[in-house]
Amino acid sequence: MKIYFKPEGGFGYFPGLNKPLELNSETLPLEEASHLKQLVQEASFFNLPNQPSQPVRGADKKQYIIKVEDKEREHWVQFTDTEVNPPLQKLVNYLNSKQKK
Amino acid sequence: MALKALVGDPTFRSLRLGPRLSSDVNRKIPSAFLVAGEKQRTIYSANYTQNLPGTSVRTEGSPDSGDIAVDEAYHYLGATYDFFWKVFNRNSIDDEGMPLNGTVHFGQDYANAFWDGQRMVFGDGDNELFNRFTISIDVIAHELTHGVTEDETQLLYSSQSGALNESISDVFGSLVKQYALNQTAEEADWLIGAGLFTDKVQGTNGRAAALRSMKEPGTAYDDPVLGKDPQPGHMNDFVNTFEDNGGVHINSGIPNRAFYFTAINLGGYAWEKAGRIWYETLRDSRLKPNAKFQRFAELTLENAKRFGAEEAVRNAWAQVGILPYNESIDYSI
Repeated sequence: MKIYFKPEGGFGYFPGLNKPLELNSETLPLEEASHLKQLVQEASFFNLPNQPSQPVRGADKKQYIIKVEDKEREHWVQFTDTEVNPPLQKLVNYLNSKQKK
Repeated sequence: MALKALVGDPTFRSLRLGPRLSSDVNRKIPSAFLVAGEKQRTIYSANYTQNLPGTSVRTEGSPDSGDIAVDEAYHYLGATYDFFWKVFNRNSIDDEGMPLNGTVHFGQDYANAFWDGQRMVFGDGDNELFNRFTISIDVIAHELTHGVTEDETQLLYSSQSGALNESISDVFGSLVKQYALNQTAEEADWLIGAGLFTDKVQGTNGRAAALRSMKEPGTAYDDPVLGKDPQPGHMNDFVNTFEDNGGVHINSGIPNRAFYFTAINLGGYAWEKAGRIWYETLRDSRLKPNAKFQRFAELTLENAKRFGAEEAVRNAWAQVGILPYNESIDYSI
């Protein structure tokens, strides 16, 4: 499984925190790869809509793009912090922590 | 006195075509019972989730809660309300007494603050790079000003109009801080988010790091993890990018610096003339949602006439590479 993660936006633009992240489960330690796959599954990632149905209002919100490739499947989603989806937020928290390293 | 009368002048306001903000915001007290100049704050806690608005933890008139994020949000939203009321006679975000709703403890280690169209939302920071986002009064005022801008002009949140939207929030964010500290333009630090970064983040020139510098865009931080402050301070360095909604937090450095130069050129308290010119421009019905820097500069120059400040404003924009030729304004629009 390959994951592409791109955070954007927020109160300021910080070049070091907006770099894209690519993860490949095959190159991760076994336990971490399993954790990542579980996060993707719990988020029902492949069933999520690509984008929010309502136009995004407001300012300074963070936005995220996540793309997952898994065997024959490929799916991407774009969303902001106000998306109420705790399992998806857990996946973002994990990817954010990896992105900062 | 004459200046105060002008601030309340509804000439341009009544010409606005855009929708008002408050229609979809629930009021706790019917507006008929609200007295202009009386604020109505409610602070909520998201309890480390991303559910909004969260649970109410402090309402208007109640004592300090002991939760520093709650109390900072309450006091700094109050200070921002007082600034707009006392300086510009503006009654809250929509000038009709809209309640001020703030949510703190949003998310887990959430390093951001935003305006969601109805309320101001603040994270606690990750404590690695960012402290809590309620720590800086100008950050709270920045978010509230997004509401004011949305109410007045709906500047599109992309490219130059988005950078103007961001700059206006920085301008009034900084003015609220200067007003609270009773600082003149010369005394102010012109930093946005001073104190927001932890000690681990590296500043420049021996200064502690901040999010942005209106005086010297591009110098607020230079850090191995965050990178270098990417803001330009002149049109020669304008950044064309798809990132950050077309660089809204990047190119805002240019109009930010124009405001700084205007304030320095005029001297004294920045909110008295420079701030008033920017405020009148924000309320000017000729400022359209897709406005670019050039048009905004032209309108600041037009509004500067009433305050005898044309030369100071023209000079300020020229220093960032924008020449607002007054004669280019099409008054028929």
